[in-house]
Amino acid sequence: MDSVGSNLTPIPDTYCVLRLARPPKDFAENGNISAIQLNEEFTLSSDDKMSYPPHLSVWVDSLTTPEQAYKFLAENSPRKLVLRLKVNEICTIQGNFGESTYPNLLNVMWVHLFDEIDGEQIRDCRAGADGHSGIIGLDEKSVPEGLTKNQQKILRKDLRSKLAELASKDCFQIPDL
Amino acid sequence: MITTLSPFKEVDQEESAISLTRFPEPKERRGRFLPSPSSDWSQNLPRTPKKVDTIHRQEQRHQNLRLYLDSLKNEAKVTGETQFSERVINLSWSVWEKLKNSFQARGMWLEVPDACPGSKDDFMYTWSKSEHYLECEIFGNGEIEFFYRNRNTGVVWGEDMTLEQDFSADILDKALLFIE
Repeated sequence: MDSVGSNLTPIPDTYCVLRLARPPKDFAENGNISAIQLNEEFTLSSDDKMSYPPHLSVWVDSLTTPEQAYKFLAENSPRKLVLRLKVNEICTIQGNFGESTYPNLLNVMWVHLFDEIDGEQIRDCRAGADGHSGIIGLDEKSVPEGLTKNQQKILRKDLRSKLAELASKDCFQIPDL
Repeated sequence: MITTLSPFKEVDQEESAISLTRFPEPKERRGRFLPSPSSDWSQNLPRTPKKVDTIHRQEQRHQNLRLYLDSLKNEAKVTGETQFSERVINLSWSVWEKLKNSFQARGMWLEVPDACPGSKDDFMYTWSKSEHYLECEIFGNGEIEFFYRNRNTGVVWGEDMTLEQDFSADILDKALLFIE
């Protein structure tokens, strides 16, 4: 089993992470889950944007099983599609705009979970909690300087479409829980 | 003198000589995409077995897309689904019809895209063919965002519009990559 790193430090490149996603209502008509329908899963929600640092929740697959990760979600969550991504592939995604290429925009970090008990932050000790981590760099403030708002938006669309294509290579449904 | 290369782009005359060998009789003036006055010319084109097959397949997919959107509308009505509204579904159908008709008037069949609703009262159409990827995201407030990415070169492009506006030459040129 892989070891847990310190909070907000990078996850080793050799690790894989899981993202629990909503199965798409797709119109692909080919029975496959294409990258196309997964785009939405790589846009930060309002809660994701407000968290510190803003991140997309994922789970290190050697520390958290899909079933354990599912238990951290709201009851009866529809997020039963498991996407598996390699950390090194996430981190080597480059953003493009015009003639410029922007490397190192995305990172994957440990994001420890805490419970507040009597005003004190206590590390979450539920099964699988150790694997919680986040993809950093998808929020509006993480884009390179010097781009207009519209260019930033295009860059974010570029990143999320590339992430979605990665995710579509390796995904499966959690059996009924 | 300004003429055209693709049916939608302004270029010089030298380049346009090449274009005319690729596309049937352009109907645009000064690079603006204008619908054909009537679609008669395209209906007079010979219908080869391959073309008939393509048309049949695309018509079938077109019908299936309609059914799919209707099913989503019903879902929105029955379940009060908050992630997408009936309005965004209606808008999405209008966008597809407008885009499809832009090409059909010129005797060209735009591939029926894949489609799915998002979670923020938005709806996404996507086309994917070899290195080309194009998405059209429609929002319940009437905004439409196009995004293109070339997987080989890394080139990206985006443009926003509303349904009241005409498709720009750039949008139509990107969609042209997905003509069957």
